[in-house]
Amino acid sequence: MGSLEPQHFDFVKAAHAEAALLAAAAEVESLFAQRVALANGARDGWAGPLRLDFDSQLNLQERWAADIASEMRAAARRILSATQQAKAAQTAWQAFIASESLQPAVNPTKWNSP
Amino acid sequence: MEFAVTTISARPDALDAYANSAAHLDAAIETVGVRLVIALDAVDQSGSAGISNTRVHAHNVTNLAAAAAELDAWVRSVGDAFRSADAGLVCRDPGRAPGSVASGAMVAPNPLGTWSTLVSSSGGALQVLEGGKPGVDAAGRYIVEVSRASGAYFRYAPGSANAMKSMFGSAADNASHIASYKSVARSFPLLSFGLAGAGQALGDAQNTKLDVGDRATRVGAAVALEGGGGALGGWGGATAGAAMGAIGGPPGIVVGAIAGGIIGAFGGSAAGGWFKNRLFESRFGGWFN
Repeated sequence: MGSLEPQHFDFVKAAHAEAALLAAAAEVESLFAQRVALANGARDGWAGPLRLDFDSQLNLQERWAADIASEMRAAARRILSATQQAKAAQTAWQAFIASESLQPAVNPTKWNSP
Repeated sequence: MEFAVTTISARPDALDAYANSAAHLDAAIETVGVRLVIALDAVDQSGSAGISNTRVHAHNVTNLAAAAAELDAWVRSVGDAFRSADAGLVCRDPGRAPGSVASGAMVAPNPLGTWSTLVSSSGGALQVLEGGKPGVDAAGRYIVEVSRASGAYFRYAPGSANAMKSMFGSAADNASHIASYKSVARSFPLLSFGLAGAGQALGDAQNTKLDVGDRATRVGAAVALEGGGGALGGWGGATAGAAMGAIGGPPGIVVGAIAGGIIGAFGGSAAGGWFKNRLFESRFGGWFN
């Protein structure tokens, strides 16, 4: 019965976190793309080792930003997956309760359904 | 030219424009991170199964914003350095970009100190080259680049006349070039010579491998550029020029040195720039055409 036993899961907060992560990923990518575009404009007036320094650091940061965005999307997917599993568990638990004509052994509000 | 590179004259305004605009973007990225911290804090604190440690993503974003802001502030300092150099003022070395590998970390320490890009004058820039190693070329020579819009530049191995000779194909070629090479004093915080073949006064005075006339010539020119550096500017140069003249260079050069010093003293950076340009045009202008 352990697999059906309800665990605490906050669907509202999970949905909020998922949306926040996806939005943040998009924003970081967009803002960094603008930054790189700006740098391209500044490159006309600059040359030499310092420019190479700048380019390499900007490139590293660009990749860093892409990694961060990618990780945030992955985290959002994990939250979505956890949400789906929690919903499945909730549904199965409620079906079990109904089939056995049992009263829930736990406080239903604990599910905090969306 | 063997070492020809494509070099574009620095435009401080372009760097400023980038730094200003990028600062707004950096702030926006930071705001994203802060919002995410607030959003994810609530989730982490809820203790929901399958969701934990999400705050790390928010911290990643704020860390990225901080690094970006640091880099963009550095870009502004590069623009300031170029602007100062163009105005004939003492410029502050902006150093390596934030996050860059330090010279001594993975490669041999840069013997030229922390100088990376030092002076821009009339579209030129004086820079430590960073090929295989910072400040050292493939042959292990310490190198300094003097570049102009045309892309011509020199390499210089301080403290070694033989190394100088090895850079040029013939003795005559070397003799004509060596007269204009740029002397660099280690650990001297300011590199204050332009493109005129004028060595930095202190560096030349300390360079015993130059003959007296050679030193006096460059010192005199250096006087007209930036002299001793700092607020004293031409006065420092005037003192150095007079001192070198007294050592016993040829009369004409001594006069030139002292005159250069006086010009530098009274005319400040403007006179220095004029003198520098005249000297450069008359002696070495053809090299860069």
